[in-house]
Amino acid sequence: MSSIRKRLFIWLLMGLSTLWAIAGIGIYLAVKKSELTKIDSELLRLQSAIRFFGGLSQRTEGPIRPDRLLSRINRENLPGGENRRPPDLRITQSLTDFIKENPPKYRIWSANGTIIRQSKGLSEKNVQFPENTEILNEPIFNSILSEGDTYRAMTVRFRPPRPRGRPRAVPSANDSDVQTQDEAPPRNAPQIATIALSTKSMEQTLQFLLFAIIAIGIIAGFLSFLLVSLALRNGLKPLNSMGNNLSSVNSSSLSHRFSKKGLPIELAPITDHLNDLMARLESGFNRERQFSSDLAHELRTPIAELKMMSEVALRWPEKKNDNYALETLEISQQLQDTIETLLSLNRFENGQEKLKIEELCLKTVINECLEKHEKQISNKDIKVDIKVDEGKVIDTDIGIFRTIINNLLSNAAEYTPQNGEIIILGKSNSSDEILRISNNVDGMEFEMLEHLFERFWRADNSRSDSSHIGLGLSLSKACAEALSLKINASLCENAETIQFSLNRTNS
Amino acid sequence: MRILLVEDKNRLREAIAQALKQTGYAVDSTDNGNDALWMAQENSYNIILLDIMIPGIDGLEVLEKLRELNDNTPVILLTAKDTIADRVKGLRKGADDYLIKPFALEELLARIEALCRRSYQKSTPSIKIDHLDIDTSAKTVKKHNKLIELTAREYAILEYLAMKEGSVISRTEIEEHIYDELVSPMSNVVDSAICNLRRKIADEDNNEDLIQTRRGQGYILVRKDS
Repeated sequence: MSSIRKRLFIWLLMGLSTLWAIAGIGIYLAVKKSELTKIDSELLRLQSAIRFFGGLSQRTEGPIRPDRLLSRINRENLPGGENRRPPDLRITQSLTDFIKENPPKYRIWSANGTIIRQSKGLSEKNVQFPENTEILNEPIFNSILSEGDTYRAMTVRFRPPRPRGRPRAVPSANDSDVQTQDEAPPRNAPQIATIALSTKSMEQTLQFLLFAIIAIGIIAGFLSFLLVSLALRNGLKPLNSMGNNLSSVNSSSLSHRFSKKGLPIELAPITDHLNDLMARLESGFNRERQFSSDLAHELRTPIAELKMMSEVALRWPEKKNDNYALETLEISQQLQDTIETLLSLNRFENGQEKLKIEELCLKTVINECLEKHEKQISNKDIKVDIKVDEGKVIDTDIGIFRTIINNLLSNAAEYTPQNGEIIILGKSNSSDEILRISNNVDGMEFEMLEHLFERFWRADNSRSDSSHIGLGLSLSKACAEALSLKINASLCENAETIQFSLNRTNS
Repeated sequence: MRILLVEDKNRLREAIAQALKQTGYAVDSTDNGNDALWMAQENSYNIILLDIMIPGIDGLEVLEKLRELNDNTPVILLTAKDTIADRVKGLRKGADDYLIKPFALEELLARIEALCRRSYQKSTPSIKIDHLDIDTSAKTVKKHNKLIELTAREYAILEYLAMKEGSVISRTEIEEHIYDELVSPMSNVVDSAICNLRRKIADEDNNEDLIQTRRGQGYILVRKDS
């Protein structure tokens, strides 16, 4: 069985882990980008120094003494300001920077690919003359691997500066620099240079960052685990509470209703639906209890009569009632009627009855059924008005239809008061309505209408009258449904006349 | 002993009433709650047998009203309602016992006897007074261990006097408890029954009557050995 807690736990933990991972990767990439940008700007700054080297190589051979270069650095502080500083001073400054703690590697080619100058440490294989030099107007950055170290390299095409004054000896940036050309290129000819700075420092920074991110990620994952567990435990507490309340519900506590007090708003609709369900269950259970109670009464009472009469007759045979046999037969008949009606009701309600559809004349069936109640009707001087068209015929199961009519007329004859009236209406031009039976009634209330078709329901709570047990209308309703018909009951405004109409259902 | 039987089913009511009368009880019966309440207030009954589902006010309401009126007559509810909730409800309304239909006649009689005994604070069905042994369960009387023939009325009077041994019981009280509503107050059925009873239970070895008359007051059953 799936668990909301487990599902939420997995999803939340996965989501948080993904977020942590994305954040970690983002930080790592951002720092890496920043470090690369810093190296790239450093490389760009070194570009002028490369130009200087390129220019030196065009004028003279051999290295320049570093002390000459260094001596020029002091001229930077001469009065006259920066604007008046000669280009060689600026170049010297770059060169000073160039040869600091982290000396760059470089290689300078002439336009035809001849190496003019290069520093040690760059292999031929890893730093080659670019095939297309036209695109090098803008510097191109890339990473290269040389002798086990990683470098950030910038390749650029440039024209060396045209020097003023007489040519000088070629300076050397440091002792490791070498002069590789045999022949100087033409003055101010374009040159290609690749400058490379070691990325070792950046890699160390990134490695430290990676370890930090992983360590923080593990701690964050553990904290996320605890946080999600705690959040779920607290968040699902109302659900657990509701589950416990639900599990305590049984058939004897159906009147219980769930309180919305203290519940989160998301559970309020569920609580409403549960309370509705409980109300329906309670109503259903009460109906069934009432049915069982009524059934018990209808069966136990005649059995009690039979038993008591038999015991008295056996114990005091000399006092035996002359009507004993007749009364016993009546009680047996009453019991049989009750049981057969219940069985019929069960058959019809479960759709077990097979229908035999035939054409029948409505008026004929009504007259046949009325004959059974003729005595009761005449004893109470009830007026019967039959307004049924002679030619009205319907296709239905005669036996079941007769059961409906017989019960409705029996009901009308039983409950119509002395000198009352029964009206039976059946018009051919009525499309849906087959029949309408109305009669006067005493003591009927509008609230009773909804119970009329319930099994064993009787207006008289004492159930004293043995001639009716309260199953007639239930049986009529079940029969009507078996024939795809519907019975409706209504009271006129002053509640003095009740009307039963038998209609076809739209289906 | 006088019993009020409230049952709306005619055949059942008549059968129970007949059985009770044959057993020696005086029985008044009715089929509705309104009459039952009125009869219970008007007459003095030893036991009321009450159906719950009856026309008029229902049995439980009758019981409730009786208890409100401080009428503590023992009540046995006779009903087809068999659920625990129904039984608990009935007993909590003040019923002393609850019998579910259909019930055996023997059981009904036994419960009535038990309630009668309880109301007279007797724990056993046997009462021994001098040379008499009265078995309230078998409704028999033995004189010197020999069964004597008593009519139902005579037995009922003797049992009633024995239950209230040592107390003066008026003629009216005997009428109320032994005879049903059909007996005329002006008749001398009690006197003649007492007379017959004295003759039947008389001890040949002792001329003193067990049942003595207190002029203007009534009758009293007194032990000779007391």
